[in-house]
Amino acid sequence: MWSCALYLLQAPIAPSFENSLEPLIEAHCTECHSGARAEGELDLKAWTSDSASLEASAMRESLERVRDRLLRGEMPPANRPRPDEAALDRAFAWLDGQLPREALERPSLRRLNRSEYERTVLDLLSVSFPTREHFPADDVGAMFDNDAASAGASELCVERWVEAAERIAALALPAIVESRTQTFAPAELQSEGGVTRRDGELSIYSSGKVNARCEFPRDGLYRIEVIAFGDLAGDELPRLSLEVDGRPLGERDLHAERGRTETLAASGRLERGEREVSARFVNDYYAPLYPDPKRRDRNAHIVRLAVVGPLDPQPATAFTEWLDTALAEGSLESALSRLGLRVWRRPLDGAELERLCSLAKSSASPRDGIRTALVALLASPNFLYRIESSVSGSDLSGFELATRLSYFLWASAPDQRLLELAARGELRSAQVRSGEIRRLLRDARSRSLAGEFAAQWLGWRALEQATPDSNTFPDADEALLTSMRQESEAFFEAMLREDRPLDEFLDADFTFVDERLARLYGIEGIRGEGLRRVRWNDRERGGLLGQAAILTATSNPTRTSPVKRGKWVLENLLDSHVPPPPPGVGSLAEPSSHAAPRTLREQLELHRTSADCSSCHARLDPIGFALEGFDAIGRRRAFDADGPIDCRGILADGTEINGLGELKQYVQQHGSFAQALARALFLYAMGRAPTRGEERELKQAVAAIPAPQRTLGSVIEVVCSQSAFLRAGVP
Amino acid sequence: MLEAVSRRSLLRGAGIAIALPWLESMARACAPLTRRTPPSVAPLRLLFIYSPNGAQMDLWTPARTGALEVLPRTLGPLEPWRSSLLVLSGLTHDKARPHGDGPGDHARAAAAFLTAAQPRKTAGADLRVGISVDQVVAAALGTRTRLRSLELGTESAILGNRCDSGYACAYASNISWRGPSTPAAKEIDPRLVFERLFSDGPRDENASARAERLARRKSVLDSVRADARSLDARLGVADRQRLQEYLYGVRELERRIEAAEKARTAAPDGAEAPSGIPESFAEHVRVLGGLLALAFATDSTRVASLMLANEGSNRAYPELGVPEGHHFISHHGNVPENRAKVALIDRFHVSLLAEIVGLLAARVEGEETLLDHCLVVYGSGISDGNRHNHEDLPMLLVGRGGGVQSGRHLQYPADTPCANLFLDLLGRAGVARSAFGDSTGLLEGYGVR
Repeated sequence: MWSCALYLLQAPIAPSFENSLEPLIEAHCTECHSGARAEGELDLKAWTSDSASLEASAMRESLERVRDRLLRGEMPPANRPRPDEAALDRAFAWLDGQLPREALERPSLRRLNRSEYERTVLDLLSVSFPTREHFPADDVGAMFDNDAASAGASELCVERWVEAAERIAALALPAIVESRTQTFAPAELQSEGGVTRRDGELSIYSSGKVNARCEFPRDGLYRIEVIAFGDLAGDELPRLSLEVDGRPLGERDLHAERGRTETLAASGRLERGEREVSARFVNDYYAPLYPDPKRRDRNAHIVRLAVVGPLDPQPATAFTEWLDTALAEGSLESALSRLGLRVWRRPLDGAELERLCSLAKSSASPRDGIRTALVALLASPNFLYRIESSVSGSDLSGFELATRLSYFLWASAPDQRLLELAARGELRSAQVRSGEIRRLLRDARSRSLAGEFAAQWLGWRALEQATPDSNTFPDADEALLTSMRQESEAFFEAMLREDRPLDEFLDADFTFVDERLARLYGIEGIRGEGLRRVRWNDRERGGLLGQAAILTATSNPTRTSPVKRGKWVLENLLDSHVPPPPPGVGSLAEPSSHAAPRTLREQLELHRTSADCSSCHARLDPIGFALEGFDAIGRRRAFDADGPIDCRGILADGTEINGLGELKQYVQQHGSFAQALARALFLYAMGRAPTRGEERELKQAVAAIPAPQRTLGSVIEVVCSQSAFLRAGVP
Repeated sequence: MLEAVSRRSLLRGAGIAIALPWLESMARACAPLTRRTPPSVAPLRLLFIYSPNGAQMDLWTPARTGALEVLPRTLGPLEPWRSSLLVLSGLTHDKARPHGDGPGDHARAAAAFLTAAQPRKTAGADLRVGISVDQVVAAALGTRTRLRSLELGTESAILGNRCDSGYACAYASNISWRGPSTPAAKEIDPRLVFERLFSDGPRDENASARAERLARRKSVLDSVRADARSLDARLGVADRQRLQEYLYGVRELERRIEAAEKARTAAPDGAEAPSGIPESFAEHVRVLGGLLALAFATDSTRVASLMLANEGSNRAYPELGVPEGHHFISHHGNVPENRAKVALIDRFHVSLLAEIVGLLAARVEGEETLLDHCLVVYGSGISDGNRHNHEDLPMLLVGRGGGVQSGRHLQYPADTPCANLFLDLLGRAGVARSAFGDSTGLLEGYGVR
């Protein structure tokens, strides 16, 4: 444990209850946590060196709970003095020594979440597999759905993974479909319209058709044939339309009369699947008074239908092309070894390769064999989990590092170049790494940082489930909510691609709008779908805080929530932790605005009157008031149901702000955005929160970036150079 | 078109075992395809349904105890099933209370609902609660059916960047826990549920192609199991636990292949695969309810859970005239209009329960109906959404299985653990345990033993 190691460096005395936890408890805890009416049913005064050890069997849970609370900074509460870091280090050193290893060890294993899985399969095999339609959703842990907390795998997951592996392998390496003829005799044919069934034929006497259901084994070119003869009458030959699922492939005239048959054919490109094939008689004719009785009635007689194909050569997939080259250059074994390296993101060992080879060789054809091996690779824990087997605390292997980098920056697998650098051990060089980070960020795949990282961190992904009240906000349909998300994503991506100064997240002169958003923002002259870059004329709007996605995601369906907006600003822009409301207080004590006799602002002022509420709400609410000039879907407003809007607020430090412009200035002067960003990036990259030590290191490293060089890219680089990022295990 | 009857006999002729209603398959037990011995009574099926954000208890609780004569407003939709209904008042989930863990009542309510255990307060990978009652049954009896259990819901994971007050989102979006740290992921797409129940390879697949496909899958599973074993040695204790979950899933798939090798499965006549997730919430619940009834009737599983919505869900109900969002309005502040809106949602959820019960009652099983062999536990881990209290929970038991004596309202002493009900239900399901969660004994008085 890092804290243990740190402690030992500082003080070579063995930690004991008396010299570690007890003084901390005395100074910070027992005022509330003592006696029969102890807060949280936790009487810490009763703890002694004997009772507060694991020898006392009931203690484990209490020790764990005390450790958790201290570690997360939830105790002592926000309005009490904090213990100093050295005291905490001593306390943890002792606590960690008490608890069994499995209680301290946190799982670090991460699995591919739905989005990572989908991107990985697309990048590796060029197969689109919509995981959202097949896999159960990933639960969010602390902030992101790639969190180690979400790495659990229920039966349903495993079932879907195995099925997905089979489907993906079949798409990547489709079975060879031989061309064949499927024939349908009269007994196997159905009909519609004026059709009479005879022994050897189906006779169409008036408008009608003869049809059969036929399986088309793959996308490709097929020929539809009809074997038939006709009764001639009038000045046209009997004409048959050859159709698939009612769509005509061609019309053909029938020359043969009874006693002979003729094959009419039409070809077309068809998609795989079961379809209806039919021959429709299109020019029925009947002239009962025509002198020649044999030329009075035009009919068509169908003897057989047939489907021939596929006629075109089987198209190569990206994977079959790769495979053909690999097999041309080497053996099956070497092809599987190269495939394994890409899919498992590391070289296979001898036993693994042998296992795959024997699996591949047990199949009927090499192609079937490789497909089965691909299924086994994709269904394996080595693909599904990001395995890091380097000893905890030691440097990651090159391959493990390549995987961390690619899933952080691309939410997908490392590419060939990263794997080659890993194999040569070059990723250990900070200079090479830095070059690679820049390369990965320039690549289009880094868009995942907007769609995955930012969308979750800044909260606009929640708009997927948001339901603004359609009576209050008739314009806020799904299309508008989607445009909002796209705007914020495009903005984030522009910040990344153009390496713009970090400050522009708070105040920028540009954004992206389509017609819907333009109307919402009051921008003129934008027509139609599709976002385009515009300069703000409403200068106050520029930056994250003026974006509709964020103003909407922090609102309730019928009205704004100054509390939620305040919390969003504190946590995401000011890097400040807002503790949850204390026990015994409703977590959302605001009554609904329209039902209560007071204005929303007056209701929130009530927070001031309660000591329990005021310590936090004095920080939250005034920030939210500054944003009251925007309604619950981000439109500017001067009035709400209660009357004229008041955007003034007095912040906890006494600063008076009025409106978004002044709030933005305040946030910029506060200068914590880079720290908030770095912390969120750490969580996303590592799948867990930083330990206290890691947090200190990160803060120092971020603070050391010279102001002019502060960009998203430089903060990402700092996160990638943290020892936590470069080393294995959870400290 | 083939007629229904001939299709069935055709399939039989082809050696396909249709997933038959329970008694019918028992009657056919001598046939070589099914090798079970017929039990003397129909098995008990258990269904657990969760409704989030509590309820307005004044409109929920019947005025009098004893025989249920007049149903209170919220329970009104259950009128047709009054004689099959037990209203259990006074039950408590003590483990959903803070006990020093502060706020987070929504997360704790859902996590404790079927586990009766206190969830560890963490947003990290070290989450831990307990094994839920449905999963205890699934673990003990699950091998008797094709699927051990079914876990369904209408909302996928919670999309937002912070869940309830420092608790991982998994706590609020799952009620079924296969292991103390492993939620049993729920399925929300009816089409996938149907496929899981009844699909068995391509339709035109012949016997040898099928045998080959199953064998291939088996060899793939052998291979990945070997991968997992060799990984085991290289991972830490906690990560090994994760890998165990994976291996458990692999074993379960193997079990299903073995069953598939003995008999084919096909959906019963008239059962159509749903096309996807319906737009309307009510329709979504109805379709899932239909699938649950079908799963029970075909004896595909005997235990299931359904979350009408995730705990803390802020779903708006414009169809009821409640556009505010459920969680938001559940903090009603004792404003009468707000309470009335919450009660509308409560009643709406109960009406969906009534529809599901109707679907169970509509299925004949021998001389009786499926409902006679079912127990549906319906409730919430929160009582009043405004106060987040966890005593006097809204809890119903619907069905006539397991020897319960329904048609009554029972008032239990304050703080009677909900776990006592679950402990007792376990016994009725044939999985007797000496304790479950924070149980203090068996729940008395609601049925014969």
